[in-house]
Amino acid sequence: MEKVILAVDDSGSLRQMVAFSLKAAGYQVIEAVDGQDGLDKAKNKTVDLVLTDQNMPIMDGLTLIANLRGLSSYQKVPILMLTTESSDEMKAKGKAAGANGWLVKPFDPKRLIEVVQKVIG
Amino acid sequence: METKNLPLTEFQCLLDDLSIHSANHLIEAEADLMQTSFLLGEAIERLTTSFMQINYAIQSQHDAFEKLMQDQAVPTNNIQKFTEFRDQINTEINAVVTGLQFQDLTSQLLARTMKRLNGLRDVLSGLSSEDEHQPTESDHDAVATLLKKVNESLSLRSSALQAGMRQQVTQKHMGSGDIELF
Repeated sequence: MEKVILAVDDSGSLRQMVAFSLKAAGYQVIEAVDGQDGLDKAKNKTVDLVLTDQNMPIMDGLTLIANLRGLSSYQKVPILMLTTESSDEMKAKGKAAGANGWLVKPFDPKRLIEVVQKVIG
Repeated sequence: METKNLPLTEFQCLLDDLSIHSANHLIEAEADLMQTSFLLGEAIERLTTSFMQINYAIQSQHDAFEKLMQDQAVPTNNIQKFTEFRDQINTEINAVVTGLQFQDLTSQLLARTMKRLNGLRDVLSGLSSEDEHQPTESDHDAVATLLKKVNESLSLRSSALQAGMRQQVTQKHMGSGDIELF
């Protein structure tokens, strides 16, 4: 059965590139346009991995992670940040919020797939 | 003893003009950046659509060639060539996917620059005189106080602007970024 990944990013082009790369590797992708949309879709269907941007309107990535970790069904679901942010301070915040990893944009599809496979198989 | 008057009116005019001219140029710069942002947005949309279509065509071609190979309709040396081309195409596709992420980075930088220009307009508007109690041209102390007030206002507004301008994009190239698993 295909594993499902929730990709959250306010940039349409970035979402398309993420979805393209993950689908080519055999994953099913659900797209969300911001943190709130991501949270709504995550509540609607429990996914195998969440890949989220940080800086988004309405709800940012760190808030999304905090909200997801508050849901019993998302206590152990891996969450990766995919963001332009690269400071140690932000990474520490991400880790504290419950993120399992930090990927700095732009991403290389091959490396993204390697990480996803390592995290969820 | 002769008391020289300070050219206070001229000085205030200079500040007013500086504020007005700066505002006009900043509005133009903001408009240009908005247009740039719009053009980049449209460009990425077209590039992404074309990329998807090219990829679909390549995949179809690949499937058709695989079928020919299964039917043993392709000479062995061509199969080797096909494999080389396929690997090369996959490498290039990966590079394109990384490159096409430019708009996500540039749009954030443009938005930050527009925010700064807009804020700078507010900062400079503080130069313009709105105080009805202007000192007289011979009152040097009052003039000095006024200048100090203008300077402090500039400094405060500038600091407030800077405080709201956190850098979110530090990338200097389009090579793929670091990965860290916690």
